[in-house]
Amino acid sequence: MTKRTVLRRLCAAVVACACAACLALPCAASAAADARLLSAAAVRPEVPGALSSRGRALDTAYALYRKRQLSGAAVTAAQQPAEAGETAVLLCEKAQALVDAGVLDAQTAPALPDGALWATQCAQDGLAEAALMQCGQAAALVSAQWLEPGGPVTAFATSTPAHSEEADEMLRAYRTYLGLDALDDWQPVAPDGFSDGGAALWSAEGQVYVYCTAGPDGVRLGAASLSPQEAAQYGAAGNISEKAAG
Amino acid sequence: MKFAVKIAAATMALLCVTLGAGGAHSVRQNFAAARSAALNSCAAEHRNLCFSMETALADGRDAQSAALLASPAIAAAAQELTGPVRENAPMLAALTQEGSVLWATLPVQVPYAEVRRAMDAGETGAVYCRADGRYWLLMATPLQGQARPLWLAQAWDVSHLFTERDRQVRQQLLLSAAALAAAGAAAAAVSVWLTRPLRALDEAARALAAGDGHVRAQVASGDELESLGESFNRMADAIGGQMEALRAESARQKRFVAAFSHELKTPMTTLLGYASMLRQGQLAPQAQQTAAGHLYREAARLEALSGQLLRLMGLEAGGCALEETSLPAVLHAAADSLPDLPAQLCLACPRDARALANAPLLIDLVRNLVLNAAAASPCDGKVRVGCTEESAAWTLWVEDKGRGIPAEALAHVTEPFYRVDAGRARSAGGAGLGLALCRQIAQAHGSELHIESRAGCGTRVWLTLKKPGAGTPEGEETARGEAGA
Repeated sequence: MTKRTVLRRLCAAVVACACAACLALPCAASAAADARLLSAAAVRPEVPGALSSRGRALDTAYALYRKRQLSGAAVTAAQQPAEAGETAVLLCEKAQALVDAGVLDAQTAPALPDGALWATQCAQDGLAEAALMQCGQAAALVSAQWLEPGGPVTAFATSTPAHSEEADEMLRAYRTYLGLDALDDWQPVAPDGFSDGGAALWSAEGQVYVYCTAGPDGVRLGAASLSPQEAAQYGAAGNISEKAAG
Repeated sequence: MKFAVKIAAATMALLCVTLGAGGAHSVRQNFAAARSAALNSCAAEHRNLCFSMETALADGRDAQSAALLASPAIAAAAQELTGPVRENAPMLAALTQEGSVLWATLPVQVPYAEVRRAMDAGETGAVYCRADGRYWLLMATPLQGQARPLWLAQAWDVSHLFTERDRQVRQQLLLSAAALAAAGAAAAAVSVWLTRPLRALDEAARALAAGDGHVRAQVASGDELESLGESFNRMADAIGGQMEALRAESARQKRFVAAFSHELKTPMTTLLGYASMLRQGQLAPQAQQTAAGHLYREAARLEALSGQLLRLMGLEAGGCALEETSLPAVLHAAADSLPDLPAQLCLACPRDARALANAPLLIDLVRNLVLNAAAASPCDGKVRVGCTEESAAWTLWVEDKGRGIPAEALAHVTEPFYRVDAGRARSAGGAGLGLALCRQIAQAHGSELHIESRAGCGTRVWLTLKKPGAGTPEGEETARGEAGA
């Protein structure tokens, strides 16, 4: 066998081996990929619109954000009929908490309505609600929402008249009561439906929205988690519907 | 290795590389996409589960209640989240910061070490592990708002991703094998078809080398191979022509040697015969005188023959110097050298006819042509010689109305020693070199000797001579002329 023949056969063998190796490439690549996958930790995908670390550090902001992630910002569970007396006591406790925090003054604190009362309660994913309504000529309403168990009041409404000039002061006090003063990126917003005498703020870091309205129709204040997209849609510098705030 | 095999092998090798690399890339991309989708889904589910757990354990924010509730609360919350045992129930575990398991529904196949590895990866990481032939994805996240640090670990069985990936790999291998088989057959057929012209050329070349000068390559592929085939055919034509020329030259040389030997033998025989008789001293004085005369004539004949041969060889070896020459002078010189011509010589040449020529050679040429014309016994007893003017040359012609030259002999009359009628020519003292010399002289003048003849009607021989200051009269031939065919 000549040297040339040996070289030719050697080249043919090398080419054949290379072709076989190429065909087996998917197998080899898969095995190598598995080895890397099983040895090193993977990175979880980034969550779009995740709450900032400062927001997560604030219990109220985080709880509201968590509620929004689970079932939306508002409580959508069906209101269940409740015992009026018990509901009244509950609502008084919440009102008193706001009075003690300087959000409401004693005069603004609602008087419990007399007469035929209709009470409801419900809870959903860490948020509880209660409402007491008086039907008839002297219709009255008191409702509250709070973080369970025994957390701050995240919404309060009463038909007791108040001065509209007090809205801003009430909002500042309410923000302090909720422990949200650590957020320093508050920007004013003008939600739809707000009549004169309303104030509203939104923080991007906490993705939380606080509002307060005061006037002859009563006092309404509250806090809700709002994503940047929702805030932009309703206008961080524009209009935000009260519906999103519950 | 045959060229067709090389083409097919190269095609197959390229296909192997393409299939292998392409298949590996495709499988990898598909697997990565599937893993990414699974990771997104699992991460979203885990995040919601963490939120739900945090909500359910809200009482645990109270450090005092945390100690009281601890495992029962966690178990209750986890039970509520996971629900009754079902196929798709979340597989999770609640652990302390130190890694103690408080509650778990993780499969037993999942090693505890992998759960710890998931905790080490933190709330932004995830780990894959393999156990008992199945693949698991693990995530662990610290629960927020707990007085006692708690971790929630969750596991998903992602074996289906790897199974699908392996199925794709097997499918890729099968497809590659099928594609290679089909491509191999196609490549072999195409390469055999493509190399068919090469085989035809090879066969033609072999036949040509074996001596078949008429073989030609029939290639009509419309590409470079057809051009190669045409070039081969042109080469075969050229070789065939050269071979024919060589055969003709060989035959001519054989005839020359044979004729020369015959021309030499005849006088030598006569010389030896008469010399032998003289040596023997047996001849009478009158016979001796006759023998001496024969010896002298044959020796003179041999001398003339050798002189003609030398001149012929000299003309074949090299050309001659040309200068402006008076053609009337040449004709008259030739006529003057033939006082005993057995025919009337008629000259017709303008007085001012001048051409580039070698006067002595041209006189020889005219002299030989006139002698041949006279030897042809013209019926009117005349030999005509003249010059006719052309645009850039003079045509010198000699014509007679003698017996003419047979058509079959016309191609050979300028060959050395060729005689149309050997017997008559030898008796007249001719050796058959006259027209050969005339042809060489014409070529030395950059021209050719043209002979037109009809048997029984006569012969016309002519050549062209360049005028002074004009181009060559016969193509691009130089003044040195051609050294014979």
